[in-house]
Amino acid sequence: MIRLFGAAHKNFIVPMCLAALLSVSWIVSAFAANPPKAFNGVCPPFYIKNQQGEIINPVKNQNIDQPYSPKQTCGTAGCHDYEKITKGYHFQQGKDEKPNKKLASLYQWVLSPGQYGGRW
Amino acid sequence: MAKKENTSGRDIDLTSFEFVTSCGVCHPGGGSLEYDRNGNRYDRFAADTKSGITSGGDNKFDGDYYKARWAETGVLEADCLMCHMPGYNMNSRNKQLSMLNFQWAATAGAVLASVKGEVKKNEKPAVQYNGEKFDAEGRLNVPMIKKVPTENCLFCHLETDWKKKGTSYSHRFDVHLRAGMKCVECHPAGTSARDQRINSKEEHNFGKGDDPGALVRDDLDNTMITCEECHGKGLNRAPLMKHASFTDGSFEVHQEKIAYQTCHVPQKAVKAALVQDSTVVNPQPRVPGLKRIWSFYGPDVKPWNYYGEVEFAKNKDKPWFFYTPQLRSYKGKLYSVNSLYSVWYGLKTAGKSGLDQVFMQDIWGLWSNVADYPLLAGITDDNSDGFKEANRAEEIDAAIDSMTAYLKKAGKLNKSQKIVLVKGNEMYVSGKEKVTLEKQPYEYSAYGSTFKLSHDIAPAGAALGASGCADCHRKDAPFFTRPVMTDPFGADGKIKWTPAHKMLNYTEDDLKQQTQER
Repeated sequence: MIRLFGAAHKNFIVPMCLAALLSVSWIVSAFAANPPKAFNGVCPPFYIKNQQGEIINPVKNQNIDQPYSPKQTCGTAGCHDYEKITKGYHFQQGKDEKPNKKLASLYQWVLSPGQYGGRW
Repeated sequence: MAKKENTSGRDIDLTSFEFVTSCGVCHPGGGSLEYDRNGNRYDRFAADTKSGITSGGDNKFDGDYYKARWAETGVLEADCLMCHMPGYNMNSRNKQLSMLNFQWAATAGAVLASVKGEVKKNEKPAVQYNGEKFDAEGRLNVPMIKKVPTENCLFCHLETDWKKKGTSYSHRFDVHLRAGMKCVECHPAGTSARDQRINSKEEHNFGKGDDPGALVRDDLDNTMITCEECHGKGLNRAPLMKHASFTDGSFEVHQEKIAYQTCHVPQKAVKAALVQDSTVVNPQPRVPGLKRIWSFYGPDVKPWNYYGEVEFAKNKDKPWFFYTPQLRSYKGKLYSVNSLYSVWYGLKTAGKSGLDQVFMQDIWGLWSNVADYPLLAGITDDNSDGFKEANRAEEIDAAIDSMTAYLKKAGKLNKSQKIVLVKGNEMYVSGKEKVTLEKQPYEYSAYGSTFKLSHDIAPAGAALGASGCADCHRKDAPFFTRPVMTDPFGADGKIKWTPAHKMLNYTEDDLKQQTQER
């Protein structure tokens, strides 16, 4: 290594080290300003929460008599957009849609084009 | 599903509350299982004294709150882990629903805790968390995965796609599953989606096809990954299509007129329901609840105790049954489909278009009191297949008259309404008077769904055409000439058939042209 950075290159070592330090400090400051929320698609360990948004902690015996709330746990800490996610048709099952004219004219009992109030 | 506003309990069949226990066994929560039709969260609205909701009360016959107990059960929020957690216990989750422990279901399903006690028995469920699922700080630390595992999709689709489409979802019959692909490879969502209509962060509208039998979010039809994207362009490192047997250069013509699935789903290995009759109740073992009103017939037009088989054999052990799927023309292309032929009681209201239907509970109510309706004894099993059916004029009259009498007695039939019996696209006003209803060419009736078959894809070597033109175009080729059912029980009790080409509205000249020697 010393030979690689021999006399011919020694004038570059100090600027290179400074550049590296600056790069690291830039990355650290950028990271602090915009902490990664997605964690590259991997959820880190997290606290589960009850319906009131309070932490349920089995180690510290906090609120351990209550079921967890997926909405409060996954959706309120800024990690996931619960409202957007639940607009998907798997969640709405047609509740957010009206039957089209043809469907409505044929099926008097149909309230939506999906499973919620839909046809068989 | 009951309307939001009703004037009496007689107008109500399935409420939003009952939707949770019956349909919630598949639906992942959120949306219709969390909010009422005015946008209020069910449990909070019910618990608010200003709302005037009484637990278990009539609640002004509100279809969202009639006899409901939301304040005690809580709601079903969208359960992220149901899809994103390998090893999620769907049975455990659904057991909570049957006990009316709605807000405890997600905890039990993810096996984060044991839950004891039932709201149904007026108990307050007790929770005991499983310490193994948490780290030393008390944070949840369980396996999760962004791309939903196939097993989790199949919690719901394994059964529902059995009856509708005869989908096996097995490695034996599906080349894509055998290749280790997940459902979400073809049905992506979020930033994995290629169609801009569904491509955005956290978007949970999955890429979908265009099924004539599924009408939810039709604006998102054809957002899934197509056959061409993988096998034409090499997406996902798929093998590129060759179609080497089309030596006459006719591949493009086929491509224009026939869907890929039609050739690559040449045979089915699991039954789908071809006929659903809810006018005559036939005793069948192991069928739960009101599902007993349905008599299903398989692709061979023989009685099929579908729900009994589900209970008996369970979803993963679907019995094999080999048959050739139906063909129908949809939007200018030929598809392999399962088209359902339905037989049911309709309610025709004077001055109103279309039809209403009789509640399941009333069909069961009628057939549970056969002694009170002696005409029903005249409905017999004319074709000795094991199921009784209303096929003769006098049997159709017996069915219509008995149901009319039952509903009148129950105060559920007003003067402007008349009971009819709908069989395929024929609406019987009486045994001797019928009206032919409009329908699309791909369906038996506007009241029977047609489902395209796009799973259980056979390998290239097993596809139609792999052995050359003669697979479909030889003289008397079954592709065009095989019999297709048009009536499961005619007036003489016999099954009526027609050749496949007639079902597709091909003329005899068309047939000659298609089946000449090549």
